[in-house]
Amino acid sequence: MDYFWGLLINGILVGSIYSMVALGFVLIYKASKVLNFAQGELLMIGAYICLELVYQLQIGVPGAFLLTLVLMSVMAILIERLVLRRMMNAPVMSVVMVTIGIGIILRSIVLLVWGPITLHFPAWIRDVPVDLGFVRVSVIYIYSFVTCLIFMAGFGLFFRYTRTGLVMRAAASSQVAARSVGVPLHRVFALAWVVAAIVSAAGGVITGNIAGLTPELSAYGVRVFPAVILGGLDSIVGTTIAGVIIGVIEELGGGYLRDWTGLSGLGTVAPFIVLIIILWIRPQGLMGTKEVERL
Amino acid sequence: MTEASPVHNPPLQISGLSLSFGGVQALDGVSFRVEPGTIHAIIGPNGAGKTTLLNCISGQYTPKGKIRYGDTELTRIRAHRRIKLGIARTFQHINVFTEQTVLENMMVGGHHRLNRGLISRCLFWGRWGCRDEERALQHEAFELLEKLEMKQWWNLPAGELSYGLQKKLELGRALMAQPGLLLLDEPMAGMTEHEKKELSGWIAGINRDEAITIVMIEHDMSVVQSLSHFTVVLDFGRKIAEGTPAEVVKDERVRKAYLGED
Amino acid sequence: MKQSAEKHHPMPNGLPLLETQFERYGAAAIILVLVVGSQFLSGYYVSLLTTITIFSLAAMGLNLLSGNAGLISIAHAAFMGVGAFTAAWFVIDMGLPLLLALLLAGFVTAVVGLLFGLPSLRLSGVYLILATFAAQVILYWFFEQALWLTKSPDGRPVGIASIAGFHFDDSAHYFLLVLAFTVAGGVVYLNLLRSGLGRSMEAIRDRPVVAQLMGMNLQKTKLVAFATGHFYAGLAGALYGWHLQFVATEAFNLMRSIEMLVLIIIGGLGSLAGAVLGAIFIVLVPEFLDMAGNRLLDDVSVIAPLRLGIFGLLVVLFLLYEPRGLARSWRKTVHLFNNQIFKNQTKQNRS
Repeated sequence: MDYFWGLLINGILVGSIYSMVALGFVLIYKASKVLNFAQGELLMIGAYICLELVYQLQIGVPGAFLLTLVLMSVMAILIERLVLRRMMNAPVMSVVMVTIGIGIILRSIVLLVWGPITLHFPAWIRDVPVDLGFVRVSVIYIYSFVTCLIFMAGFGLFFRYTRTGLVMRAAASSQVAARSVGVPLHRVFALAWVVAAIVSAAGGVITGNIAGLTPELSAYGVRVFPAVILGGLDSIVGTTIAGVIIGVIEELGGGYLRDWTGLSGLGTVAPFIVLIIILWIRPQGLMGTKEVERL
Repeated sequence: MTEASPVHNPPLQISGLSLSFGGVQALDGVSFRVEPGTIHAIIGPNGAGKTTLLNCISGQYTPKGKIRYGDTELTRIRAHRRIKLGIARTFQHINVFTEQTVLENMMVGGHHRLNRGLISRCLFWGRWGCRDEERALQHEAFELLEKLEMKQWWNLPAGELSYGLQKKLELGRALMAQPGLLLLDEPMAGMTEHEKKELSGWIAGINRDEAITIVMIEHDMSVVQSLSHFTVVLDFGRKIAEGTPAEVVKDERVRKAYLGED
Repeated sequence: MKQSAEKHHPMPNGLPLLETQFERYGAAAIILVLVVGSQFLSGYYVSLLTTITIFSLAAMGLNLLSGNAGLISIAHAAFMGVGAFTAAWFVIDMGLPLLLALLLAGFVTAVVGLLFGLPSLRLSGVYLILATFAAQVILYWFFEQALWLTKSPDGRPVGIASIAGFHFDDSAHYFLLVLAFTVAGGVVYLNLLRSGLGRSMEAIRDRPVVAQLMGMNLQKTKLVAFATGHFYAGLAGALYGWHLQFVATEAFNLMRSIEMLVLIIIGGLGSLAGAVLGAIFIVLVPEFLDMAGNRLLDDVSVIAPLRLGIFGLLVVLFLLYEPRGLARSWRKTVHLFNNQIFKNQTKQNRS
């Protein structure tokens, strides 16, 4: 039973990171119809920047984390302004490829600066297990989960109650309508990138604190695709829930299915099999709008 | 007004056509009949449901009600099969393939008459190849271009033609389908007076010579009056009047809704 | 891209394979030079040529699928892998002759491609990108797990290709086999483009509604595009296996699939010249960067990531500044040369 709970807790935590990354992905898609294949690389480089700041400035992980978010915002604005804004009318394939290109550049930067070996944040919390009654969980997990919740709740409030958030939602649901009431679309796109960079970087720092930093962190970007499809490509709430579901499927799949089937790596593949099946039976996802640009 | 020509095309009978989009009633019980070989104009203010009506006939939308073309119930036939029955159309906005050449655009119109399969297209040459039917189609397309007085541009990407020529190309593409019923969505929109006059002549010509039934949406009342045999007036998805163009313009409700008179 | 009507024939000339004299003579000359020249080159250059030729063949399939039909696939390398492993299985485990195995591998890959392409029949392009991404992940995992087919997670050795007792132990001979398949593939590609299939694929890509009303069956056209595009992938993958004499799982990873897409974009979407020029680019540029890197830098750990970074940068710059690819620059040059060299013929044609 402990094995099950262990997997489940892990799944929920990984899943909540997926939820954050997927939030960024869906936001960019809704705002500008761009599939951002560099999402995982944003996560990866965010974690590395934070690590560098921790060691260079000696300001502790929380301080470095906040500074990272600022730097990532600047980077997101630069990417949007220098590259994506100039591709606003380009075909889907070109835009997808340009985000892949950006991802490759970011990965090569990480490899050049920090190398392929695993790096670790300095231990800044005493890693004591907390007894939840039915299972004991490492305190880092609790912190991480709470941080995810804070970010998700924060953006939830931002979209619901701030003027900028409302404008972004308006633009996301209808670009034509937004333009006609004078919403500056450029700013909305840039903001979507900023939010995406922030949530990704947060996810990166959290994961990095638990498991260490390698360039493989960028894999998170593509591992949210099943969550995005399951939740509905245009539904922020749906993707958030789906992120957790996919995280749990991955962990349980990796744990149990391997024992049953003798196949390794089923955990990471299972969500993609789910993705294909969803595209077959319910392409709009859990909570996406029914109109999925059917032909 | 030109005389309607005797033909063998079937009539188009529309009865009780209704369609709504999320609470907006785009079409509301529209019925009318189009006699073979006539030019039928559909007029009405913006948002009256004219293009929606055309889309129902050509197959983008599936409405409630009946559309009978001869003995065939069109609503049961998938969009890409309707051209085989002889129904072709043009669009309100330019819809040519801008990167393809003018001639290739024309050949798209005759596409439904090609029969060869994948293997013969891979082979192209020889007994099992598709060369002969492709060449025949190309030849036919070029001849029609010649008739349209556009042959000098055959090898130009269609996107480089002027607006008026692109509109004309669309008409040519539809004619390549060898239709019995041609649906035209504002064929004159955005054209100069000179171009309008020329195109009116063309439309009357193909109606007379090729005996093609034409249903067209048009805003320009002078074009409607000179060209159409019969006119249907739509407003808010309902048919509010029908008759000859002369009758229709005298109608009280039409003046109110369409011509903006109180 | 202003083209004056002057440059063209005054009448359509019955859908020729290649439009201009320059292209016809040029293509013949290139093939001739390759056939003869390859027999005198060292093994290293023959190997490069073979890789370029195989990638051209694979790229034709992807260009048909993504360039002409607009169905973007980010799993082309994985499908090449399907072809490579099935061909190896047909030859080694089933004892079938090589030529038959190559064609069967193409068919199997076409069927597998169809399966993963099915969601696209109902959905728009972004969903297909994600579906093909899933295909890449699932297939790659399958290669690592299905040891009855792939023998080891790293791949399986296939030895030297042989047809009817003739062993291709000279790599220059094997190049000729590859060249024959690629030229045939190129001819079929051009045939498809000038036939109704080419028109209907581009029609469903650019204006699906119009295409449908012109009598084109969207679903059927997409299925045909999936089948043909992946047939090319399977065939090319199989040829790649015997080129390396080892079907390496790693050769069919996500990065290779991305490279394939980059190849057709940089080369030029939807054209044969695009597939070939892109293949030259995608094979030679990393090779050149490696060479330069080894010359200029001592540190091996720097060369690989630097190469990666330059590759990424090239992709972004190309998309920003030459989004229509090398084939367009090529086309301009061809027209220029054609008009210079074949001025007389063109005039004769006119009169």
